[in-house]
Amino acid sequence: MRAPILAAALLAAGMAASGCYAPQLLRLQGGLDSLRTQVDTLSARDAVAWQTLSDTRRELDSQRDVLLSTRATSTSSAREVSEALARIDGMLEDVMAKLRISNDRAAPSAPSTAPPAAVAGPGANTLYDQATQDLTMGRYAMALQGYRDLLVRHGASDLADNAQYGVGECFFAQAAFDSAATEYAKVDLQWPRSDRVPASLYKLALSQERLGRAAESRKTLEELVKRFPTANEAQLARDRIGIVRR
Amino acid sequence: MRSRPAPALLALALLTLAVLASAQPSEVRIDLQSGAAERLRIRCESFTAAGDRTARVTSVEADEVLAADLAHSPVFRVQRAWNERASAGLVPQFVTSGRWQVTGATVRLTGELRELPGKQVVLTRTYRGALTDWRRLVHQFADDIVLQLTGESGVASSRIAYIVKQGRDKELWVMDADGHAARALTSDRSLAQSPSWAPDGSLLLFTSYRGGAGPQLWVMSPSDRRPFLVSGRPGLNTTGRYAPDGQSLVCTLSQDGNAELYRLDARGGSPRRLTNHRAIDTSPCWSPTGRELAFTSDRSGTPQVYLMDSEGGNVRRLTYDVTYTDSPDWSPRGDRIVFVTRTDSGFDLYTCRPDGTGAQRVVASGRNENPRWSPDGRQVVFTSDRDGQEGLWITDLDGSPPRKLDTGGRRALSPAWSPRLPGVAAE
Repeated sequence: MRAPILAAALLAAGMAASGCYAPQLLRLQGGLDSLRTQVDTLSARDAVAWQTLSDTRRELDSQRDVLLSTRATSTSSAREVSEALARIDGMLEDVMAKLRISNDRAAPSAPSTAPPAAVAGPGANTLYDQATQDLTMGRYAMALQGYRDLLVRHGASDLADNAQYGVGECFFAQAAFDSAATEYAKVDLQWPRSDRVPASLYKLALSQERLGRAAESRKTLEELVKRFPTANEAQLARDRIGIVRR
Repeated sequence: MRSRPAPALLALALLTLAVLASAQPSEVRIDLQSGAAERLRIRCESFTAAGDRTARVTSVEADEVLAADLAHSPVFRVQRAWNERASAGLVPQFVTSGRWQVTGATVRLTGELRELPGKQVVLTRTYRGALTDWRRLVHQFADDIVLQLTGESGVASSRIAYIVKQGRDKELWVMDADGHAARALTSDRSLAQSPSWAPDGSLLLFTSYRGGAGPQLWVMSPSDRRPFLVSGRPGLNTTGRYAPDGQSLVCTLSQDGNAELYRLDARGGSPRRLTNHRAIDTSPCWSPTGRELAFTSDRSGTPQVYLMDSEGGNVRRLTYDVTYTDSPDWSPRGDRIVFVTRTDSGFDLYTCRPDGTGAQRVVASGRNENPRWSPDGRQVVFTSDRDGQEGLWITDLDGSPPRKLDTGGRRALSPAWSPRLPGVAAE
């Protein structure tokens, strides 16, 4: 700010020395006044900015105190939670170890043709229980993964047909009737003696009906009635054949 | 396929704490499952009354209502600032306070929840409503406190429908979840039974002999109390329950000669038989996903709880090793089913997982029946004569003694806990 003032003063002195006229001096005086006003305005703004900065710094200090206090509280709580989680982890490890021992004792030996890696990991019971729990609670993606894991790892297990039915259920519950029909049909194709077949055929027929394939649905229901006339699903099928026909 | 083996015990406890302190008010959430964690300790301080002369009177009542709401939630242990001796030794983790302002016929509650010891503000809410309806504001504040600390709203604003036995008649009643504001919905001088709520809480489905043609299914809005017939088919029309999506209902009909489960549309049309067995199938309830049903059947010779797909089929027995089980109700969380079991000493309440494992006795002593879950799945309301007279009781399922609901000395039975109802919006 000082440089322009100095330059103006020098210019005024020079002009006076060279015998300039009064009107020019007056203009110069006006220019100097204007410059002084601008300098004062900038100084005032500078002071306000400084005050604002100081206030902000104080506010930041106070916020830092709050944060430090909160962190102290949180750390204490988090430590308690960490300890609780560690205890739960330990309990889970114990339970899982017992489960592994139990499954090792209870599970039938895997077919000799199966690769050893295929039976590693959780047992069929564990996978089936968890997947069924997920299905019941509406966690369909997790249930689907669980059932499919069981089919891959424990395809010879006597829970495999249940798992295949569960795969169909995961799709049916999400109104993916095309996929559901494909999966229900596999129960009969791969485990024709399973007691899940009547329910699978019934749900296959319902899936076909929802897909608008009434003729296929009726055919499936008639097959169900013919092959399993005493099954609970057979009576449902008889009722529904009437609906499909209508 | 072999039948399901007795699965190994797997206990999974989940405890999560998230503390975010970078903003005001700070947000504290603690995920609690019934019995999985110690209750939070909370201190209730009196509201500061302001405004009309009635403010002081109602604020004192409001203090008690808030403390009771929190105490009845299985989440908290409560210390009342105006009665500290009752909870001596309790070191609170949170404290509630607020301002209670009454202006004419309007009340304004500004409630605050702070975390101790730093007294950081965790929650501030302002509610406004009619003075005649002041309890709703307090219930809402209680529910919002539970929501803030657990991530799931409380149930203080919900209601309970039930049957009152008056001489030979049974009438349908409804009350707030804390037992207040009880009123009769029917005065038919007939027999009403088995109420259940629509999933949005706007309708009550119940069985009644009011039509003079045996048990029929009726539906009623608690606000206008005008019943409409849903199913008056020949024979039994009983134990109706709406599907979770409200688009259909399941009930027991005997129009074909035997008590079977049927699925009807929400208006009572398009009946579709779900069971077909010479045994009696009754008392159905839905899984929260609507994919499965639990029901009672005596197809094995004695009443037992069974499950099946909600389209019918895939029937499997849930309960073994007991001679009599009945009245299943599926937790809104989906993880447990509560049911009645007959024992040598009476009728006890048990819960088990939907695969039949993990059975636990949750209520014993006396005749305990008609269990129904609270909308948060943390409590069960049931009928019991454990104190010598039929009444409604609530268990927290954590081994603590059940508490009796005040029904004004009336003989109350067959409760049905509403879903969460629309609350008071905060300003």
